[in-house]
Amino acid sequence: MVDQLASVNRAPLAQSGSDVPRRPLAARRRGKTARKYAHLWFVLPGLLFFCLFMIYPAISGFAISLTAWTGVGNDFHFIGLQNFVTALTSWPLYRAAWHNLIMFVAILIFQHTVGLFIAVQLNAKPRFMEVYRTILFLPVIISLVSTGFIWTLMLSPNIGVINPLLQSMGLGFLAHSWLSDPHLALPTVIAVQCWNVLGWAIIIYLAGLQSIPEELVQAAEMDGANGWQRFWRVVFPLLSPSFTSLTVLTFIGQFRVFDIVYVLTGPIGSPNFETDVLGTLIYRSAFGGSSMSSNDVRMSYAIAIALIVFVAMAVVSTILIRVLRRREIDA
Amino acid sequence: MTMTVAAIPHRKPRSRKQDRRAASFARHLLLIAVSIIILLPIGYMILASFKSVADFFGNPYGLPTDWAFDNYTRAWTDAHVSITLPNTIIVTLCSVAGSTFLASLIAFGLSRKERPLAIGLYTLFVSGLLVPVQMIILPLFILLKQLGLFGTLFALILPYIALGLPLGVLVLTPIAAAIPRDLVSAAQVDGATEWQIYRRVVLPLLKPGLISVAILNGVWMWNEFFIPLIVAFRPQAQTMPVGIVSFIGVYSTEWGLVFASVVISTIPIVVAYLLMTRQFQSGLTAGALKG
Amino acid sequence: MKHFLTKALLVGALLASTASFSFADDKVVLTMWHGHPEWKGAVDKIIAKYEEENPNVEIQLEEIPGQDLTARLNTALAAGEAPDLFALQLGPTVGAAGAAGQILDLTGKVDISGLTQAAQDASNYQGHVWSVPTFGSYTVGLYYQNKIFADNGIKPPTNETEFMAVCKALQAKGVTPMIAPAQDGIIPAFLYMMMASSVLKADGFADLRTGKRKLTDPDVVKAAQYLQDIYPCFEDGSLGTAYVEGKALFSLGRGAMLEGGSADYAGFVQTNPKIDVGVVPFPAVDGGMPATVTGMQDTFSVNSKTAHPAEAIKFIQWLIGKEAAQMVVDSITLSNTVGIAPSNNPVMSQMITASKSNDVRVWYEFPETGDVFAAVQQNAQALFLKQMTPEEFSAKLQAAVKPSAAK
Repeated sequence: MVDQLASVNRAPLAQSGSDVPRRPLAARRRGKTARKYAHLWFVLPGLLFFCLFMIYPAISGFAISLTAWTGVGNDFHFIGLQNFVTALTSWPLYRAAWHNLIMFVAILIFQHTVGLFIAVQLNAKPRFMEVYRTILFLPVIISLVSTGFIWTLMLSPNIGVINPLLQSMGLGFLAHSWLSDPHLALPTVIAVQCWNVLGWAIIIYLAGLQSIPEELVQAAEMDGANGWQRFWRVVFPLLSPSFTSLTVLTFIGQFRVFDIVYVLTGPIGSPNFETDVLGTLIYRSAFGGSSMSSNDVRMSYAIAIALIVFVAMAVVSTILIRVLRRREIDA
Repeated sequence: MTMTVAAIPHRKPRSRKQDRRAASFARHLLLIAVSIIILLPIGYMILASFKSVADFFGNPYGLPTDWAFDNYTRAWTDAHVSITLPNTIIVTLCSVAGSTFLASLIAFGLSRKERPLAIGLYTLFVSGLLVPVQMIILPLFILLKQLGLFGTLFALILPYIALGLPLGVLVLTPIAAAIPRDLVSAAQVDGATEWQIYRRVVLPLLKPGLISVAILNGVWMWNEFFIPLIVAFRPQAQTMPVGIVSFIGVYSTEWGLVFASVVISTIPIVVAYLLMTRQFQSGLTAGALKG
Repeated sequence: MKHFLTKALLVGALLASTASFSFADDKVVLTMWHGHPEWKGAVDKIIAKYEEENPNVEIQLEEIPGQDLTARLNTALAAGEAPDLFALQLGPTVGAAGAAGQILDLTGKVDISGLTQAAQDASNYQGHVWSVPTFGSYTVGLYYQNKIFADNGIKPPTNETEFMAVCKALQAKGVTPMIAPAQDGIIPAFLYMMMASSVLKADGFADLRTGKRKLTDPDVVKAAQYLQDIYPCFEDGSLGTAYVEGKALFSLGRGAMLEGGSADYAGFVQTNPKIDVGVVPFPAVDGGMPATVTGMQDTFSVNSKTAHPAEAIKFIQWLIGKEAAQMVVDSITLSNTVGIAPSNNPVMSQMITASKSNDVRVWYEFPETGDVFAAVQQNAQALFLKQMTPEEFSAKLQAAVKPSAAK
């Protein structure tokens, strides 16, 4: 994006055929400057909205994180950066971030392999392509609360359907207590997430595939390239923008994930914090781990964690975008 | 992009056709298999929406022993779906429209080359994607109250518009920046104002991007739960996701009602998605869609 | 495109502004938030009764699940938009809200003399009555399936040895001895409270709060050991079982025992109308006394900014009266704070009997032991998985105790 902005050249003013009277040079220059920046005014309405409803609350939130406020009452005494120091030196923060990272890498690989593969198949325009595409996008649209709960039921070793299904296929040895086994809980959450986000990969890659000019592919075919070569040498490099978008969106999505984990394994990331992620950590600090006891509620601390996550994500995504965009240009 | 290839034996047309049929068959098989995996939980959920609680736990995966159609009627009244559904539709439509429109303005404004300012603003907007909602929810609440918007649907629409801008700017700015300079210059020389350039030249070319942004934002705005939970709690201003959760108890839950509400709330957005992707398809081939 | 946008915005603006009307009535309207959607029907009836007796009052009730309610209530309170009547958790939360002037001081305004001693104690926080238990109390003990026990010729256990024997006997017959939905750590927390209370008993618990006794005392560590020992008696996948699923499993007869409270019974019946259970206090550590724990359900406060303080207080007073309490006991099956028996519910009567032997107030209602509940929640799974010894576990819990001189 940075490069694109920089590379858009200023084209010389086209000479129109008609006889346009020219103004004095100084006036023309002032006029030119005004025109040159006129379009920036377009940014203003959106900027106002953004400042009012995003930036101002964010700054206020930051101010709260500098106090010791628990979330109830009006004890706002100032404690400076203490919340931040506590957060940065607490093991649960890094444990949760580690889980986010694992989820991100796993799902990224899934999206760029399975997602891409299915998008390619859909791009071949089989019959009922639109039906398939709508079906595959459904998990993205449907509320996570219900799909999440259905998954917990399906995965239950007691009244679930996954284990009996495996057994009926002769794979009974694979049947486990999916969400309560410390080694399997996180992979299970990842698997459910894959089910959820496959639709995104398909949409993004499909859009990318459909914007590739047919002629290029046909030219390669006529040059005698087989399917595999056509794909890797022609198509995939042209998919770089989609690759970038999907990677960035997956990164943001996986480090902000909350709903699906909360529904699948609860607010404390059972079993024994194996599925605790940054989202559940923040929620727990902000509003407590249960509705019964509120003694562990520390809203200002939660905001501090959220801010740390924000800054870290901003840094990483900037680097990520820069690296990926360079790759796009080189492709 | 040229390929250096060795001479490849010329294939007989007929077996290539057979290959294609085989590939097509395999393709269909794969897509059907994946679709089944995707649909399985959704299918159970739809079945469950017709069951009573006892039936749901006693017979989770079979057909309902007694079709509880009253789950749907009760969802309509008890969950105030008659209020929350229109509310959700209004909020989503207005927020998507407002956000997409403003984002297109911003994309147009940032699409030229004023280096530090444009890039700075772009980064500012896109960083909004990362802002954690727990951080801003309380100040936002107070702000909405001070603006006198609390209790109205604007309490949701305005924040949503602001929250939808980052995605819109992220997607639309590269597209706007890639519009050929000649088109713009020609319009400028013809005496067009910036506004006219925006309307006549840029906006039409942004169309596929506008639709992508509308879908991306529309989906989360429709399902958004946390912000309406905290900020839109006057009964007249509630949206569907909160209404759905109101059946989930601490000691027990009316799962049939929950799923019935979910089904009701999913139908409009599936319909909208189908309509939008029709547009999406036709717009795509017209312009290059840069992520 | 622009036309469509403009139209959409205009229509939206119109509809949005009309969505915010308010009543212009001579009725007194009180808004109330409650955290139990599953009881909405019953609470609606109770409110209807009050409105019948007080025709000039209308109470608008909203039910939101517990944890979501906390998020909404805390934020609304901080922004000054909380409803007239709401329930805060006992302990520091109520104290903080009171100190900040966000709730009315009900001392002297609400007559709590008709409440049981425990309920009166719960109403008092550092000398003020900030909130009152309005929906009775809930008692937690051990439910067991009458049929399974009868079929196998066993009696409900009274201590750890008997419990493990029952556990083995049932496992030998392929029956899951106990359902324990441990996903969110709440059930293990209750289990621990009852086990430790069976050793400490009421005065020991008081000593714990003043610091005379510690959870790391060897006899109390036995409770932690007990908790670790019974893990194999739980159902498969207990660490991933959500509360709702656990209750459903028990209702369907998939387990012989379930640690549960009086508020659970209605949920059982909803899943399985034919359920047949009995209740006993939870089996004690060997040598201790089987214990139950009792907590206050929904301690309501009045918003200090309410437009109708007198009516709000009157409603609260009525809620802790005999008429309302009877309705609560019968329809929501909560044991009560006013000393009445359920009209026609033998299981609830059993629960009340069970609580007569060694009942301790639930630990999280006290500022000294409030954090212990959260500590058990977060560490129990490590204990179950044997990644932590009972001594380490007890030490972690003791670290969360904040002893005070006052009781």
